[in-house]
Amino acid sequence: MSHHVTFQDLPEGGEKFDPARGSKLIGGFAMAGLIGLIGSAFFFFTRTDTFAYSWLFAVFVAFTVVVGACFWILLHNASNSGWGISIRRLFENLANMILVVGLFALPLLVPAVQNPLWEWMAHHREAAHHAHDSGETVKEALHHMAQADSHLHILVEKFGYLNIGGWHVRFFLYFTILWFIASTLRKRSVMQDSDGNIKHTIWSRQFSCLLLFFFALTATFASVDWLMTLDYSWFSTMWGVYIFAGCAWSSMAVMILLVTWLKSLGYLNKVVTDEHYHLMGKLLFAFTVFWAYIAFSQYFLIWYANITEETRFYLTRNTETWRWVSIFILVGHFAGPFVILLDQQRKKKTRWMVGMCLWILFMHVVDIYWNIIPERGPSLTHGEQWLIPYAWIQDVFALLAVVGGVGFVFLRGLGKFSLYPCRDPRLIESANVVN
Amino acid sequence: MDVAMGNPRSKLPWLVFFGGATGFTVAFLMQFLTQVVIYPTVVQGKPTDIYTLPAFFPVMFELTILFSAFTTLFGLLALIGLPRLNHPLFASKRFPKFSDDGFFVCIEARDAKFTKEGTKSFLEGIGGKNIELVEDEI
Amino acid sequence: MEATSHASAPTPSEPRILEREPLVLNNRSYSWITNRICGIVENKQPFLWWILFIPSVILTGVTVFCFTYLISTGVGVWGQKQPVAWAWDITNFVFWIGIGHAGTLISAILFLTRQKWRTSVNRAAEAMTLFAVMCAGLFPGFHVGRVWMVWFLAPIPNANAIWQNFKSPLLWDVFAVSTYFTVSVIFWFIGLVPDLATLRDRCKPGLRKMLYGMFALGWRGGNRHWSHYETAYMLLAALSTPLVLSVHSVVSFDFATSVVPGWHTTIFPPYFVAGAIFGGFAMVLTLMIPARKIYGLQDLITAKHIDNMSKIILLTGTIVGYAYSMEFFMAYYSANKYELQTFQLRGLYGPSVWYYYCMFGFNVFAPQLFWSRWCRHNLWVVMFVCMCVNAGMWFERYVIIVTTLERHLTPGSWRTFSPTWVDIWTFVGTFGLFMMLFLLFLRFLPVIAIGEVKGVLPQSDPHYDPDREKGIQEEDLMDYPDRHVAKPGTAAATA
Repeated sequence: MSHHVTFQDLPEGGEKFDPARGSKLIGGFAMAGLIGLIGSAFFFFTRTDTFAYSWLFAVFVAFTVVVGACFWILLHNASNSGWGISIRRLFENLANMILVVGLFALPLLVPAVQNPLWEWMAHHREAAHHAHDSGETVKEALHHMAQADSHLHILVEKFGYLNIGGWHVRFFLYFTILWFIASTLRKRSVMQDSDGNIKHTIWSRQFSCLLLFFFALTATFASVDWLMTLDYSWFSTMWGVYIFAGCAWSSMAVMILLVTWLKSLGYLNKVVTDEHYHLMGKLLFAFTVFWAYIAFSQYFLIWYANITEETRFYLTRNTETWRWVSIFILVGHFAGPFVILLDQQRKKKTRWMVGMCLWILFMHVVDIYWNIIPERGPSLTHGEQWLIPYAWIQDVFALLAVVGGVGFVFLRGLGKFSLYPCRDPRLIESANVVN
Repeated sequence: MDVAMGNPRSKLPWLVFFGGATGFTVAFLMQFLTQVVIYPTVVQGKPTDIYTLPAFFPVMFELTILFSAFTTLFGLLALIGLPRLNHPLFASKRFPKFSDDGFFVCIEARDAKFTKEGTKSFLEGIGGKNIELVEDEI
Repeated sequence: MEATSHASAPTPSEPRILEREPLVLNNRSYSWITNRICGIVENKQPFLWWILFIPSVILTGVTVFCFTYLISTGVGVWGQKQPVAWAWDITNFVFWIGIGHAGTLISAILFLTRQKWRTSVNRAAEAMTLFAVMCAGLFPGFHVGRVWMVWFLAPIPNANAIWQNFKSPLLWDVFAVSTYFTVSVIFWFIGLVPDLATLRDRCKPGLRKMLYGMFALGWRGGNRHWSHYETAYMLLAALSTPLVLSVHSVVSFDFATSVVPGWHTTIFPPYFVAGAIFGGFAMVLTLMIPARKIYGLQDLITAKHIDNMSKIILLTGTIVGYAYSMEFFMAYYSANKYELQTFQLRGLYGPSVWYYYCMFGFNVFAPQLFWSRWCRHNLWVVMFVCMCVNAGMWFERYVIIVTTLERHLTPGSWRTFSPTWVDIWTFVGTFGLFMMLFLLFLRFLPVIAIGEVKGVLPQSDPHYDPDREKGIQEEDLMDYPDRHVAKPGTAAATA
């Protein structure tokens, strides 16, 4: 039996991370980011159309991980949990990367990026152009365009939600809400580090309960605006839940890797034990199953009902190369992790978990890729080609740029506060957790 | 307690895993054979070949769970040797207290180190007070 | 305040730890718990029990009569005619099966997430699951019309040489519901075994002792027993969790796999599951609040338990609200005229809009009262909200099923549904059946899992250390006016 950890065992003021000790990894991220950014800048100016998809893909991968972190702190506070106090600060830091992700997302506001990505925007811009000439409203102009191309009628119907102004307002709103949640909770938590006031814990719980609903709306509509509208005729009510499941899953995997890395550098060893690995592993397993449940239900209902405008989404992803990616996701995203994480003891073995988490992150990237990139070929070539040759190189550079950049900033900033909330009234409960 | 006694971890999960696998296979075969091999019927616009697999999934899932649950129940009973409606221990006067707020140590006669006198003195030696010899009536 | 300076003095001037509220109040001992819970079964039932039991039996008789009448006459005695071929019966089926889900949630999911407070309510909730599933099973069973032909649902070779259509959601339902019932029975029974042994050991020799003894299977509580037992319990919890998700998902597939506007929505599976948990928790509270009062179980089912369950109702109610809103949003966003019109008819100007308002008001707005701590701690308010939710969840199923069919794709066949007296009394009668079974359960079986409650007492913790640093409880910290834990000092912690 291990010793019962008390406040006397823990260093006062918590443990501060020294970036110099983690310079290898930080340097690696910096290198990756730098190479990625150079490549991205080149492709951005030379291949804007195809690169737009790459950039959206890369930004969205980072976005999901950060949103997942935001979810975990909200859930942890709202459910009055004790076990995860030792790792909560890391989640808080990760969630605060939302501003960096927002910075990387700025190119998505450039019309030359938007038009190839979101065809509806191109149509709307064309309509605005006509409207400017003829003095009618944009909606009316769109309606006129629809008389020539009947497919555009949908855009007239959706005009109340799907319009360029609204999209941009929402774009800023998503980042603002997430930043507000992340920064407020971290501020409280850091305040507690210095004054030890227990009431911060109660306050954070109430705040998290209230904000959980807004978080859900943000995650949902962000995924609607950025991903679902890639094909403006497609829709699925499950979409927000599906994206959210991936967010929580990937974020937990990042956390396990991060904790392992910090422990290997000698941090957190008093407050994070095997039990935490077990608990995180269980949550990872739970979300493996939850994702599969949501993904299967969505696929299944669309496959079964077989309605033209819905089934197109899966038809694209079930043709040619994408078919193999779909099967790969079924096996790699669900079946593999499911079988491996099923075993109780394995969740406590760090080596297994590190391997598993790297795999999970890879699969998460594949999942996002599979959601975005199949639209690229048909959209840009008007259905002539499924894939654009060698465009995957651009995707790799974009991913390196965003992940490298966000990772670098995140790890550099890790030393700003204690690695765990050192005076949280439930820290001792967390350090001694047994499950 | 398990760690202290050096008990191995229960084998039950393995049994259940195979129980579940059986259920999964049975459900797949039952559906595939009846829907595709024996009596293929085109309904709901679904193909009558392996590509109709998603439609079989709900039943495959349910039977996996059902078989696993049955394996858990019967596996448990087999592993702990129940039901055994009578047991010499039941004759002990103090026995009913175990299910309220007491506990007891039972050393069975088939234990290799068991001797009638030796065990008694061993238990007394470690501070036991209510030591009772329970014998089968037969 | 420096942590190091307190190394010699174990208790600092200000509390640094936020304590959990005790799950069992007033430091009750093991034997107090045994006596109190077994006492319910062993003593005479209070007068109120009979007051509830007799009408329940009568209502059960009503439902038996209605079904007899239905079998002898035909399904036409119910109000459904084309295009509303699914009406109250399927509504009631989904309603009851949803009620059952909270039981499994409490026993399985809360077990896996180590929510210790579940121990006080899980037994009753699981029993409720079984009874609710029984009530649910009646409706589709009789809806098939010729009830003596239901064996056609089983995949056994028959004279017509036709096999069941495994591509049909209705057949998945058969498998899902029967599996759910069977696994719930197993789970419930395994949980009961140690408690049955307790009852057995307390009984005088006789028929009762024999029966309890038989069902206790000769449980001796040995360490190897417990070791395997706990593994089995954990496995069943792990099996029940996906099962409970799947059952209501499969029920939702009945609707969502179709191409009917208003039914075909991808969010249906998780939305149905959340709704089921929501409605089930309301029913658990509806049953447990009176039961704890009548049998004096306030120390075991504390205000904290009710508070937690109220919060879950608030959470799931909001999730359900999210799903309602997403449906509406997507009906608009899809730009599908039929889909949109279905929702306009449901919620704005159809013949049954008030059902929609009841649904939304009871399920989404009423639980918002639980944001207030005062409301969560006032049993009348809690009961009021639970009643709203019970009704609201029925309205939800009615809205989904009936109002959709009333205004189908072809305006020529539109028809507004109205129930017959058989519809109404069959449904009312199932409440009698449900209550009767639950009251019998209270009479003969331990309503609270004795063994498990003992496990959450502080003295059961192998690492329990009476000398460790004491903290402060939330109630003392925030100084809530309606505190339910005694002020420190009045109740000293004893091992």
